[in-house]
Amino acid sequence: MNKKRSVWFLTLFSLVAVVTVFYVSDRPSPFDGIALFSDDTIDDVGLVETSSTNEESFASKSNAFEEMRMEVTDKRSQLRAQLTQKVGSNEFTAEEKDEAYNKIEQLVKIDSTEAMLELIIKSLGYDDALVRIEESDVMIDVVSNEQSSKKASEIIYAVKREWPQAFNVEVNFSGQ
Amino acid sequence: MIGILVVAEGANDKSIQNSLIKTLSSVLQISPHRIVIEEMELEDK
Repeated sequence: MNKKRSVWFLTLFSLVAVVTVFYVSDRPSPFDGIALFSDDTIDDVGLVETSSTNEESFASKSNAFEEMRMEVTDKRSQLRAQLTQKVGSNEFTAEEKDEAYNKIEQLVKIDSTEAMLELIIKSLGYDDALVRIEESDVMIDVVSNEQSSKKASEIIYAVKREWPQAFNVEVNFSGQ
Repeated sequence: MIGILVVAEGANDKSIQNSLIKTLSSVLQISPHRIVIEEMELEDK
């Protein structure tokens, strides 16, 4: 009976001893459970900014196109207002009026062809395209990283199919 | 009607300006060069 008790006592004592040693030595444990929930960890977690510069430059490029487009529409609408006035007034001869009327018709045609060409070029796989038609000159700006004569001729072919009087077609690739 | 001035919050974006001009010119039957779009600057920002 006495022996059994001393065995129990020894077991408990050794357990207390082990726990005490662990407490006193106080090693920093590799996993600190409490620290996970403290405020300090918020500072440790760096917020990584994932700004994609590509997107921005695409937008700005598109904006530049949009500005040019607005400039062109402004100029054309002024011209159209002048021509319409010319057609409506009495100070001009019938031939002059006829000429003005034809010019208006030409403007409408150019407008719709430009819009059509922009759609066609976009369907060839470009993000944005700006087409400006002046008589037989066609100027094309395209957003693209790479430029090759094959791609340019692809665009020029599409233009010539849509606008047969295009003698001078210029393709400009503007990357970001 | 001589012209239109539009002050809009999102008008610093050129594409929005452009679509505003297009819409207004067709709805109000007015030439695009008679429409002016300006950006509205927000006070608390």
